[in-house]
Amino acid sequence: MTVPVEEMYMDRIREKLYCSKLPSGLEVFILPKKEYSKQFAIYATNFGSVDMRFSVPGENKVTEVPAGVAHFLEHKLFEEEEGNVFDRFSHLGASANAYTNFTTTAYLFSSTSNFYKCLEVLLQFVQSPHFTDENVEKEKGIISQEIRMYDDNGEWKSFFNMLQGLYHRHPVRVDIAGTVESISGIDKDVLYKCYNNFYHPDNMALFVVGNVDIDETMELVEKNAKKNLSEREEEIKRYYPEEPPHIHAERIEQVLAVSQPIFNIGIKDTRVGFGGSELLKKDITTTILLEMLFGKSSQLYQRLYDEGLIDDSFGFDYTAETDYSYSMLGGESPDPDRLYEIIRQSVADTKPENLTEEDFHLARNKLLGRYLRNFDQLEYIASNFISYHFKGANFLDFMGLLEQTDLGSVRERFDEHIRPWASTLSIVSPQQRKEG
Amino acid sequence: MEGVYFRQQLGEGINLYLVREPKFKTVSMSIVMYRPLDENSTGNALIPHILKRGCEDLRDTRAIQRFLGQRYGASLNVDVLKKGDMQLIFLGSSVISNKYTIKGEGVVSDILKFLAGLVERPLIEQDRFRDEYFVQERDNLERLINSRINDKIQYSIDRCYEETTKGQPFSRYRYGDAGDLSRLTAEGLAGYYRTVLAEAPMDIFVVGDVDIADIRDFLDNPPALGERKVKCPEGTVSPQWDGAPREVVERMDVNQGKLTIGYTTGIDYTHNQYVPLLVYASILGGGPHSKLFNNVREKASLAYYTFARLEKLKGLMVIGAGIEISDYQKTVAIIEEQLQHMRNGNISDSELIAAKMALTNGLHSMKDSQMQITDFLINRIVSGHNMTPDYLIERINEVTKDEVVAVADGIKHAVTYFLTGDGKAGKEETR
Repeated sequence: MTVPVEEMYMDRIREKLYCSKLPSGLEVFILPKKEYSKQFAIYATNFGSVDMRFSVPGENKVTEVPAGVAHFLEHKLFEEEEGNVFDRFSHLGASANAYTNFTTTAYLFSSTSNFYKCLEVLLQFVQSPHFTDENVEKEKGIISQEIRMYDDNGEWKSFFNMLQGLYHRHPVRVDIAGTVESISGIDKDVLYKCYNNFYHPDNMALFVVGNVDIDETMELVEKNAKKNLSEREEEIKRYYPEEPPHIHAERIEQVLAVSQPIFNIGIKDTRVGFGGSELLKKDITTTILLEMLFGKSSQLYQRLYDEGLIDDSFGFDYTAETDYSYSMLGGESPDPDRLYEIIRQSVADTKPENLTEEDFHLARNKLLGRYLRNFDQLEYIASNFISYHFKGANFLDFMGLLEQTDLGSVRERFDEHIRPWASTLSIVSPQQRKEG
Repeated sequence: MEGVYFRQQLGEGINLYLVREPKFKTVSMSIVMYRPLDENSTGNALIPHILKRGCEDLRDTRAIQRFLGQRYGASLNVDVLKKGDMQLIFLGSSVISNKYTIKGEGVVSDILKFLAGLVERPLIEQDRFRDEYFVQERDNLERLINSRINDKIQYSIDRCYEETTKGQPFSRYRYGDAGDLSRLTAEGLAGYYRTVLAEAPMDIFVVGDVDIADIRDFLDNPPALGERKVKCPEGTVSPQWDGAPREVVERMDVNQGKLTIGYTTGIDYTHNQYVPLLVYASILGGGPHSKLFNNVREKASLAYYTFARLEKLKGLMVIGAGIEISDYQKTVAIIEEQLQHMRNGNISDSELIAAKMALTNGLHSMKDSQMQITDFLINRIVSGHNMTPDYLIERINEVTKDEVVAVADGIKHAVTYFLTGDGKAGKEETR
């Protein structure tokens, strides 16, 4: 082996992580779990649907691309000159897939045999784009059907309408796949432009977990990862429009063929603009806070449930990204407007000192349990690790940071993020409820 | 099966299965009660939701949630499962293994006793479930049943199977019928639940990094269900469609049409063609290697998703695709063509190999999921088969093309179901 590999042992979860960086800038992470049958690998680029304006290192020019390019590119990479990459994985008995979200595009496979051959295929195909006018055109029909499928999905619509309510200009308000209209403007030149910029190894990472050997994996990666490129001196510049702290719309409603209203409540977070372990800390603190305010053991949850305003579909979540962050509550409810009013009032009546030490410990233990539970799923570990890595944080620091979190920081977070109540109510309902 | 480390009978018709897998950091526990899928289906669906609200030891959600919170936020999920012609009342929880608790304290046995307590000591006062819980959960169930239209893909599959098995127990919806709800009472349902406790076979599954010592005090004090006269629900019948296929069109305010075609195969778990059927369905529509994926999606660009899926316990198959409404005829023709290829044996070696590898990969992967291990055990019990994952893998690898083609003979097209627009959907929506 030529590249040094660093070993990290995490005592609380009894796992070892091996990290390495190739001269091309590609970062490689291996988390062996020898008792598993499976191997799972993700090869990802720090390029998502929000990256619509950027400049290539060394260029001053700003490039603008149509909505949905990252996702379109994901679809197209599966195509090769001789057929389809899926076939190659199929013949190795592995199951391959990919996803694009706001910030990341990831290519992955899960195997129980032929792991090293599969890994070779993964590296190769992501590194060999093959876009033609014809195959780009063909994909538009498939993606249009994907967009149409989501158009009929009440939860998805409610979620995106909420983002449009929260954000004035930030591209997180635009659907990940774009629109039937925006993708019509995509051609092979746009795809190559994005590919050459964002699929440079210095903007990518590989995460491998499961029943694998470290040396063999590293050797294969070194041999097959792109070598003719070296890490760029400058970073990619990404431009996001300036986003005001206040929300764009308080209430958004859409009619769809659903049985009862589906709702999302979004709460905009204005403390943004940083990544790293600060961001992971903010994520943990806010998640504990939400658990204390809205979790199943809270009085508010009990009241809403007893009044029939929420059911088991109710849930909440915090999204922490470098450039935007928000809390979200959602589910189905016969009367989202009344639900919203009760939640708003309850938050207004809450003082930081109402957040007690006992509830704090309960919520923190819950998070600890959830983290460990998710550690039993290789896919979960891999996708979360990658997602935090691109934000400059190490997901495996979670336990340590969680144990350091105290009630004081949770109370501060309440004052800073929840109390100002910069929120949007989004409803997808069977018929119009009131003038939006 | 291999991997079942331990099985013990805890009482009349009560069995505990322990699968010890040290690789997991959590322990998954489930209690399952088996009922026939019959006119009580709505009551069966309601019961676990009332049970989860409280028992004699922990009388409300807040008490339960604090109890679970103190045990690292152990989860609690209740449901009913439809397994062939049976309906299963299910209560499950997952908690971190004793090895990962902060002070090394034991939590696994607590959770097991808690689950058993929900089942064994429900809040039944003066022979009735607590009115408040009954009413709330009945209303929630009504909304849950009505919300089945929200997931259009699953709804189309369910509707297609219902039409394929019209008039048979299997045509009942997993969560029952909203029309039954007004007939249920807190008293009547409590009485019925007493019957369930007395009659239903019960299994307890524990999967994870757990030793017998960890659950010893549960084993020593197993659920006391009183006088039991266990009645096993009857086995599932695999139907054979006889006659011309039916066409069912349902209109809704949708953008995308859901084409769903139902078939009877006449082959269930215990049939000697079961394994070739798995391979058949995989070649036809079991993933990116399949004929449907390559022809409907990749070549014709008609759909984003398309698949063939088996309802293994019942011996049914469904083909699905989400398409532009105007592409209905074109898509049906391409699907028909693929079925014809299967009948004619136009199956390449590479298709056969890819299908086998996808299936065996799935079976190997199953061992890494506590949920899938539990589900596999439940399916074995419900269907009465005794194949292990390794046996299935071995058999899959032996299947020949001729065996796959032979399966095609028994596949009968029963229903074509199309969920289509009513002309109202906002197609011109732009942003």
